[in-house]
Amino acid sequence: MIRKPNCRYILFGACLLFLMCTADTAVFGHSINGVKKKNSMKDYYNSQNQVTGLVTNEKGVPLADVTVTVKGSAKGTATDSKGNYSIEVGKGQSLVFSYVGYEEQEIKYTGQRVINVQLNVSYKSLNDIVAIGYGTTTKKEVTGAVTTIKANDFNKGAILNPIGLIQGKVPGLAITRTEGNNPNGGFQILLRGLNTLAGGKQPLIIVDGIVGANTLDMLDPNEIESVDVLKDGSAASIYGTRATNGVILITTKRPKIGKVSYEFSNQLSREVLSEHNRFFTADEYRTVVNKYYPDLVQTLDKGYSTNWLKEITRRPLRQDYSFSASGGTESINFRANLYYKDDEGIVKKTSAKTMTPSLFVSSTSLNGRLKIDARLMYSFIKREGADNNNAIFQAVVRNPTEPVYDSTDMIHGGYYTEITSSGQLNPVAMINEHTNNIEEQAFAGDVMASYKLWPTLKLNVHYSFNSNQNYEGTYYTRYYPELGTNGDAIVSTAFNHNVLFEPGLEFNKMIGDHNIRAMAGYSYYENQNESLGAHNYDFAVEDFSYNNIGAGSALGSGLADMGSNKNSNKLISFYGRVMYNYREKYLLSTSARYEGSSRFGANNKWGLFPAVSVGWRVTEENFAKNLKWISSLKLRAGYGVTGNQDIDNYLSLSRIETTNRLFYYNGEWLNTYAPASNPNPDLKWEKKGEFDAGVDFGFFKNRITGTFDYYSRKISDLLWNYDVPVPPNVYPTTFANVGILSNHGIELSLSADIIKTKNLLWNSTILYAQNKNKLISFSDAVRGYKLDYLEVNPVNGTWSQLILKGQPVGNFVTPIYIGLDSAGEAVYKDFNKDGMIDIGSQDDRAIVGNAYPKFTLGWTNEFRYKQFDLSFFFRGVFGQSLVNYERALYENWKSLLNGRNIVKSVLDNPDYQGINVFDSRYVEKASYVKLEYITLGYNFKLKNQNTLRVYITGQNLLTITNYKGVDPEEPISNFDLRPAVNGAENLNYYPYTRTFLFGFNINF
Amino acid sequence: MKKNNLKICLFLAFAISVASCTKLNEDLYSTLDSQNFYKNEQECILAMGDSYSQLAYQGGNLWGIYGTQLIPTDEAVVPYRLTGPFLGNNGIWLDLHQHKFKSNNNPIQSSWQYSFKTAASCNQVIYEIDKSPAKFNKKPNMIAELKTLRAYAYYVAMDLFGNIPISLDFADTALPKQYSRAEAFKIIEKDLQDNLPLLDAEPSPLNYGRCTKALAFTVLAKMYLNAQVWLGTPMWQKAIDMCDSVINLGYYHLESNYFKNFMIANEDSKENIFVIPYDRKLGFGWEMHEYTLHPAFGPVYDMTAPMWNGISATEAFYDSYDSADLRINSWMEGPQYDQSGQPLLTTTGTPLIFTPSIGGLKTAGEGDGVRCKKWEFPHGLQTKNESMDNDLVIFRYADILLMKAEAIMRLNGGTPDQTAVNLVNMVRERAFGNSDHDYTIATLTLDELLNERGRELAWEGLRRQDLIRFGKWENAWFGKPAESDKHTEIYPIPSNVLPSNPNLSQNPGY
Repeated sequence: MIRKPNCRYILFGACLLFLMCTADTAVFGHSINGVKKKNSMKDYYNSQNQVTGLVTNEKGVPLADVTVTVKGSAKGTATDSKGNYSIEVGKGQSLVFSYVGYEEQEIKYTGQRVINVQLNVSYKSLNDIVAIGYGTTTKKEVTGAVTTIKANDFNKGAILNPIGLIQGKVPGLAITRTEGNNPNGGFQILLRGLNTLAGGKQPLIIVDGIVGANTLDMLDPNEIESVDVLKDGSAASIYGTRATNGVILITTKRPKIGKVSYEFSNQLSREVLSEHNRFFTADEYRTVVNKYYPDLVQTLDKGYSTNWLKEITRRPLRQDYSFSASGGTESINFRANLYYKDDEGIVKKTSAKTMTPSLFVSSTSLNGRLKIDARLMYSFIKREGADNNNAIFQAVVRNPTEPVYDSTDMIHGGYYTEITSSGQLNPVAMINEHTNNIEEQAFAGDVMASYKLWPTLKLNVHYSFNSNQNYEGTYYTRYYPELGTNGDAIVSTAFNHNVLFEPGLEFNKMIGDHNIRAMAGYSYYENQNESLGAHNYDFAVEDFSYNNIGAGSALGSGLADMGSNKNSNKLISFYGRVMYNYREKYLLSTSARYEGSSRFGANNKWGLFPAVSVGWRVTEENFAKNLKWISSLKLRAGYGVTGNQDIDNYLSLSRIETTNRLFYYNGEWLNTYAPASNPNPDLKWEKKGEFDAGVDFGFFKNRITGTFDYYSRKISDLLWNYDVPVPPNVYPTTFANVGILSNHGIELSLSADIIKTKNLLWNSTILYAQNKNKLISFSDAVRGYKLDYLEVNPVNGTWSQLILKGQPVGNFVTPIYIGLDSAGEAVYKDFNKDGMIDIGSQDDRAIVGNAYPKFTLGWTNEFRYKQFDLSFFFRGVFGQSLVNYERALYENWKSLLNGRNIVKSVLDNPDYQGINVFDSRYVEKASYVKLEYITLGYNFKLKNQNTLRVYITGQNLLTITNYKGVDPEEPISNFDLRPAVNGAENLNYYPYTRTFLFGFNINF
Repeated sequence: MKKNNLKICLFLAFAISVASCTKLNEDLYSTLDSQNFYKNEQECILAMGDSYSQLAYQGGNLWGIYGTQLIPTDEAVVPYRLTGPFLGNNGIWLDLHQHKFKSNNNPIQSSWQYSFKTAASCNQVIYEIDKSPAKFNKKPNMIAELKTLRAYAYYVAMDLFGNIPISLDFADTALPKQYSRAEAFKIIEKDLQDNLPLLDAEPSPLNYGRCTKALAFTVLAKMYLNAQVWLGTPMWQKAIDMCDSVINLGYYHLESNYFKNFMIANEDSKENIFVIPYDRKLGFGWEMHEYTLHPAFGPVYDMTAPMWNGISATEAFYDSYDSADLRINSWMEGPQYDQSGQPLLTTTGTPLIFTPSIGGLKTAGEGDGVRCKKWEFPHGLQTKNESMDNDLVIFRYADILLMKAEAIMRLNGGTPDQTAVNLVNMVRERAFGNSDHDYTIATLTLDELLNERGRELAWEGLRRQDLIRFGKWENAWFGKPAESDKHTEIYPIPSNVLPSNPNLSQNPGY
């Protein structure tokens, strides 16, 4: 069902159009239309005539290798090195002049002997290839909302993961680092707001036809040519039930035809901590204790000065090497790449080393009818992991007057330990006495074969596989704080592989001015996971680490654990798309995917996902050709349906599982076998219907370009675990499709070449996106699923967020702090005026902020002066709030008395004597602007068209925010809607860093 | 042309072969399809385990049934402390103690959840075992056992919530209707009576921790004893009859050592009627060490489990013990020492002394309130999910004796006869080790009986029911004001349950 788009935006668009059409402008450039001459008898008899001419660019410089063809025939030639050509053409025929990077021109032959042509530089990016899933098109023909980022627009600097290359560059795509600069950390990606409550939030990531996000870990960022993000329903719908969170298509560089050429890149970088001190230093701590608790100085001040965070961090070096070779002929060409990355984390004993060789070969045979492209990638990664980042939290809240070591305390391994308080762990001991190593191997590949059955019909067969395996070992020695046993080892291994088989047909025909491209196919996808794990503890000898797990004595006592698991799922679909255009002026695209997933319930295995979109290239119209200041204008609109099937396998079935509960029967302990969940044969995908309308424009020969999109999306059949009565159900919750969520917003990007001269170029780009989210309902009383509100995300034992029908998701609802009473306890506003404050109840709370941003902004500037280039990028997120967990837990004197360090802001309100509560004081506005990177490069001129670029980059140099916590770039998923088990987990963060980098690329 | 024909054939063959693969079957590897389960006796036994193992989550869990039975009484309190660790949990324990029962209170919600999960699990397993093709001798006994377990679960729910929904048939998927306490009583009573014949009479390791005749009799005894308060209809004689049924089985008697019933190795106690078996390796369950001890005890018991310095006995309750009463050793009072005789210290460095007096509900000192060592503490418990080994007693024989005495006294208008006095004295003599502190017909009043029950069954989760029955629930005691009405005698129906079953209405007063 199409949602009515906001009338304001339609009116705005219509006015703009009206203004453009009535503006009277001078005529620039070249008139293309030739003048019709009367046919003379002489011409009529001279049906094939020789025509010659000169082809130049707008500056009058001759262009070589320009293709000159006679339209509709096989005749063609090319201009020579001086720009001259000569060709035979008949009456009524036209000559077509085309050259890469230039606008094509068509000139009708009416008897001229000489036809000179001036070609104009092609309007930036109109002919650029855009990947749209199961094929490509050009930018000018795209009718959905697709954002393409090319390699030179990627983020610069030390990039942990290829997704980081586009962070902030795609309006509407919010990418947050989940763990600072942890080499083993990842990203959270949200497209156009929150689109699910219980389903997965990951977009579908396809790298050159290989499905699976693990490919990102393997990929050399230098090899990426472009990233296309299919944002709206009409563009992404071709991917059916995996498309709701958006589809990110990554295309790597293709081979360069010719003699073998090489590319080599290297980056070296250093990092420093970028956080500010929220807690007291040793001296400050002493001063505070002396002032406020002078009688406790003996117990609290241990006499030393330790900077705990410094004790567990280091100055890491990160190195990155990439080497590629590519070359070949038309009939066989290749690209080979070897990538090595050595990433040390700023926290000790965290790192990731990656080695990825890959090879791509393309061959064409049988007279160009058969084309086979094959790619193989292998990667080997070795990681050292942090222990849930718990050591960092412990370091930050630890008493700074404690020493690190105590050589007299050998029971605790020589580390200083306070035994009267549990839960306070020596972070240096945590780092030193813990080991976590992961080895991952991945092997992926794909083959694309296409055979031309007829000139208009191609048969394509695509096959890809992605197989990865990892082996992980973790060991805690007996001196790991509060371990309680002589060493603890865990070993696990997991194997995952998926296979994709997609045969299809492609049809392409031009009938007069009508162009039809159609595609249809079948897709079979299967994924399988297997894992094994073992846990044992109490090792008499420490030296084995986790490499002799049988040696632990817990095994003999029946206290070791082991487990294995296997699960799989399938996805089968039929899909098709038709793209039609009339003179590349009126564009229409329609697609449908009929998809079935094994994950859905028996009653809903299959679903249909249709989409339609239209486009109008206004600048191709005759009336528009006079408006020379508008170089390109396209209006487009589309509607599409996508699904989200990112849930666990087997949820719809009635299954029996073994639980961890034991049952005492006849003198022995048996495993219990119990229903795993309430079966739900109606389980299906979450469905999103989205309407998108957009304008792509360019002014003044594309000196200024931009796009504007308005979208409105409605997601229904939202999945959630509903409370159901027990009995008659066995489980207290059922996973069912009930709710409805909506998001609407606008995205705008504007790019201008502010200065463009021979030596100096300044381009500035602004990106803006805003989104409004609303939970329309998540109740269906008729089916027995009733839910009016959800109180989620506990902090200090009480809920912090309220999910309410009719409101946006992510509202922080807290008691409102108005001051202190005489005992130093917090006083709250009595909203329901009943004389009582019930802090757990919604009646005495109010909305103080929302976890999702109101809008995001990105601003890139690129300067090029002769051989120098400079660019910098500011990224801002505005309007969101965050819970400052550190203040909520440690901004009170009680924590000081418990032996912890506390936040300095306690001095802002020193009379507060309360214990850990949660109220409006701890929800802070967290809008921020970050200087993501600034980079300065120099391009050397080498002979033979070889290039060398040398550069330095600074990343994350500046963060401007009012948020007082660690870093406002907190991933939204920390506010996961599934109730958090323990609010304090959010205190385990990995530090953000400033990075300084030196690198070079050389092509030869 | 031939070339084109070839192409067409290729195309068609291709299209056909492709379109035929549309099977979306799911293969289960690590879980089982429930259609294929319950095939034989072994699998039925394993299924029964689900129903029983729910008890383990609730029986000893402070955040569950144990908490809702213990904390709102005059025998225990969880105060906020001025220094050192304590159980704050945003005030839920204070609320419970002060009878400020809220429908979103976590222990109340858990109590509901696990009682009904046990009942639902019983329904499901009874249904599956009944229709299973497996034929074995024990089948009807298993079903009887599960029906008794279900009745016990509903009994617990009725005790806590009064007006509960009851469903007795897994095949009936309609939302159950809410029964008043009187109606629920009749249903539970019938279930217990009907299934008694097929239950085991003799307790043995073969049925340890499971439903036996003695359990059914005990639950019926409890129900009849409380019938006056719950239904308004006294059923004292029936209570006496049920107690006699247990006594006449002949298998139970009082252990000579009171503490035997609570030791780590208490499986062979002849006094325990119904227990929840626990084992360290279960990983969850009975965690009294965490609830009551101070962290300084870590090295004493070689434990790295966290200790929350939470529950203390109230001063008045502790004072009700005579100093010659052996049961006073349930409590830890006075200065505390480690194995080598060194005094243990508080977090502020002062000696740790457990004092009977408690500074205030929100201002208790670190060592205020005596702590409980009734359940023998094990050594070497680690944080890695190890809890206490002691099987948790739900019902024991001493209670039967005291119940029979009470029922006799109630029938007599509140005065005992010699039989009643003798029964109480059996418990008393075991408690003092001699008959110097026996009751007489003159000294044994109902109030005294209540106090004796308190001392004998301290912290076993029975006090709440007793206080309500003796009419003392609304009285004031430490940290709790007097109440003017009786609505707190049943808990509110949890807020997360009401929306999902429109047949339920909230209990009065909430």
